[in-house]
Amino acid sequence: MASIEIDGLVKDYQNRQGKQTRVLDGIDLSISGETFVSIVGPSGSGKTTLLNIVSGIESLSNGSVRLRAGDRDAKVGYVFQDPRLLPWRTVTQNLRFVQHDRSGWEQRAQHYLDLVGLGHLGDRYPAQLSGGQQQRIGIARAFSVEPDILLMDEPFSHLDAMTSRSLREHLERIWLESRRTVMFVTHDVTEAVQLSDRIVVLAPGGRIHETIEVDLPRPRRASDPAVAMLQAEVLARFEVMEAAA
Amino acid sequence: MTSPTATTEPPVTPPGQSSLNARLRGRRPRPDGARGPSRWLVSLVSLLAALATWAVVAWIIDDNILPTPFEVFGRVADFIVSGAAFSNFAASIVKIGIGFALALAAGLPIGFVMGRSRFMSTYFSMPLFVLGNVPGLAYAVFGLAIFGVGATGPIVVSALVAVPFIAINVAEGVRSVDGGLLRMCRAFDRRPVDVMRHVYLPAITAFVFVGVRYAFAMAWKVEALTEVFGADNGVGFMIRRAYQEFKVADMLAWTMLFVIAMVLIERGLARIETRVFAWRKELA
Repeated sequence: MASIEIDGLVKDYQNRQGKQTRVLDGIDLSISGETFVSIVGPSGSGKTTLLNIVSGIESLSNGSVRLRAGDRDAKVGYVFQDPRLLPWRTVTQNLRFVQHDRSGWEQRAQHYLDLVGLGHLGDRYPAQLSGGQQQRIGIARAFSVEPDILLMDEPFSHLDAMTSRSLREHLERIWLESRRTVMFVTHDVTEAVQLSDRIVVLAPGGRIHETIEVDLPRPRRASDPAVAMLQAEVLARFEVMEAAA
Repeated sequence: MTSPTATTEPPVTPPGQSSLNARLRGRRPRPDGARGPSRWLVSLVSLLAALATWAVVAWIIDDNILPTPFEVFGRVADFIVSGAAFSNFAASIVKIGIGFALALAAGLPIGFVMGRSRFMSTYFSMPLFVLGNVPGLAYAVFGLAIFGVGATGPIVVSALVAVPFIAINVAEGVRSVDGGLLRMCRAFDRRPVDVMRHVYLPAITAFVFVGVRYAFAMAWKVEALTEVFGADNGVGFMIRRAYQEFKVADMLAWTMLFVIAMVLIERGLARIETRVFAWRKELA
């Protein structure tokens, strides 16, 4: 079983004048098993920084982060805000590039491309695809490494509402099939409610404001009354937090 | 004589886009939908006009100092039939090839560290600036003074001329690598060798091509100049010999062969570039 254990995580940035700014302030978070956790919060609350530290892209100033899968280090997949595909490689070659385990990679790649509905576009170059298609390739790429833990950084934020809604449904379907441990950063409460088992709200200053359990049946639709009600409740809590800040 | 670049650094043409944009410019449809004459036809007319002017001036002067185009073409044909053209071009190209290999061996790593480190960029800027601005004639004279008559001088000179172009363009290529792609590689825990092969190399290839094409043109000219002073074969040597024997037609014939060879090599490099960047063509 995969897990993310974050203890007392602190991240400080230093500007050119030597002044320190704290962007994450004592984050304690434990995520384990087949759980989909969303991190939400206003701009500047440190959501992306938290994800980058968990993935190892950025260093931390204090505290600890452990990604485990049983008694070994967890394998991680990452979906970025923008697709970050190699423009000089075809779709299939992009998926091949991230494989640690090359045995059976073609079947895996084809399987996840089929799941995102782009199994027929493996020979295309990224620039021949739309933004939504590129992002779906990014999702397929992350799943194709068969990660123990999947990290996602606002993957639908650059897309229009219709494409984003369609991709959320794709993502939920793939996740229900593969059941990874997911840490999903978003500023979109609808997205968080529709996809998550748990929502962690970050407050300005990089502290955890509160954690909300989402106990709704899946698959969910944004138009479901229960989803809409919870969404309204989370937004109301956001307003309270912002008023207090 | 080859004049060195007058800029502070060897010129860096935007990678890949220069030829692409030039091609696009050449093929831009007219607003009224009319089709003009093909570019090849215009170039041919221009060439024929120049040859006609040459022939007329030669006919008016009527002196050995300016042979007619027909005499020069005759000598070109003689050199090709006798095999002298191939043996001397082979001698020159081997020297340039070795010099160019040395320039790539030095320019690629220098450019790479310059692109990755501000310190290294500053460190190498001045030596490359000096190398890029030494007059071609000075290279030729120093080549003769240091290495004497033989192949070593032209080889070293062509390497020295090419290094700045390659290094500066590779450095630009490395700087152009998308940081987002590098973070993607870290997130997926890619090995440095994979990052080099799949991210850095494709990203800098366009810049390397620009550098190589510039460097080759420069190295080729300076190498020929060096052969004039200190070689016992090659195109430059043949031009000097024709000069010493006051055979103007031979001098012009060798010069013509030289230009034709440069154009063919340049076109060959352009074709290779088109193949390497097939993925860009696919985007159109």
